[in-house]
Amino acid sequence: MELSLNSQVVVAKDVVSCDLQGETAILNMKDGVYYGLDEVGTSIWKLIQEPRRVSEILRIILEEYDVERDVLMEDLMELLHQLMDNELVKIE
Amino acid sequence: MYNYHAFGLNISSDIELPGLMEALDKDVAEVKIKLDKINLPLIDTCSDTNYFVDGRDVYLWWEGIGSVQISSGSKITVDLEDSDVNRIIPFLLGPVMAFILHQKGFLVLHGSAVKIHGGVVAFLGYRGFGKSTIAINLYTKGYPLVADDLLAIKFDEEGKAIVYPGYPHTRLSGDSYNNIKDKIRALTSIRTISGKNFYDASCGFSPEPQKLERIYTLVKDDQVGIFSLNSQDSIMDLIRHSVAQRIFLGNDQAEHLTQCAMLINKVSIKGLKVDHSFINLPKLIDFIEEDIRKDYERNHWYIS
Repeated sequence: MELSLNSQVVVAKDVVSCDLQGETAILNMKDGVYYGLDEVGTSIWKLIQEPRRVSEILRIILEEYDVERDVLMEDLMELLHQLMDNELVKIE
Repeated sequence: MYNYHAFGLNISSDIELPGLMEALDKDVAEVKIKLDKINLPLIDTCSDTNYFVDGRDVYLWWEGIGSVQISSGSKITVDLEDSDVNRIIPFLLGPVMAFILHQKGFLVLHGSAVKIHGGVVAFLGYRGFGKSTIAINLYTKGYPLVADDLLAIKFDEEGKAIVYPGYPHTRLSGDSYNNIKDKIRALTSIRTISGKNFYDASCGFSPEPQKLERIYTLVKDDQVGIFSLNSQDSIMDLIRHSVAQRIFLGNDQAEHLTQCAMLINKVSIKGLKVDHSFINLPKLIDFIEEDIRKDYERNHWYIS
């Protein structure tokens, strides 16, 4: 499924994560591989514990961080694609 | 029957295990080591692994030495076949005990530790990186040994990381021993087949669980020194230096990650550059003492 502003994304099953002083460590239990997220990535990760539209994530992060909309849009899409490629996130 | 106390557990054993603390209370043994026959499960003999996990049972075997069945965190069955009992002792004290501790819910790391300013300071690293050498050199300066090779950690009700002291002895290579032999004495009754021998380090040893305050992870470098680690690097180091990491699967692996993250949120972790020269060892030991003294005096020691 193509990722767009209207897509609803959520953390996949069999994925566990923990807080690391404001950052996040993630484990994909299907293949036993570990991943890490920085502070901004962690904010996004927290949002998608429940199914959420990409447009909504964009709006919330824009309120939280001083960043250009286009820059954030590009970074957000890249992160979500990476998370999807590694089966950590799925489109509902 | 022999009765010992290690990692906060009373251990009864058919096999004499030299260099362990004797149990004060011989009535309750939380771990029993028995000599018996084991039926090893049939597995692919072409693979080069020497372990097999079957539910709450872990099987380990070593060619020409014997095999072990570890059950439900409480029973260790040892099948020596016709081998010399002394050859299996290092394995019982190392990997076998690590699996039992893991089954009992401990976070078990490859590390040695001493007690400094009332808190436990641990050194994590791969085999041969010098964990025991650093620990024994601190020991000879008056800091009691807490653990050698196996660091067993549990979290108390407040989430504090507590170390359960292991054995009051240390394993050293010949070189490391020669560097310090005037100050320690060999436990001649146990020798390992991996080229390391056991040495007594029981002075000031206490079996009481103690709070973990600092972890240094060892990296090889061409100089010695201390550097800071971010939390992502720290968690990867903890995972790398976890014992029996290769057998963690599914929920076990998730639980393990949670424990490692708890540790990072509770204990300060730093990197320690080691260069493997005994010439620089006194400098390295000074750096460690100084680093800890500074944090202790600045009150950065206790992370509540």
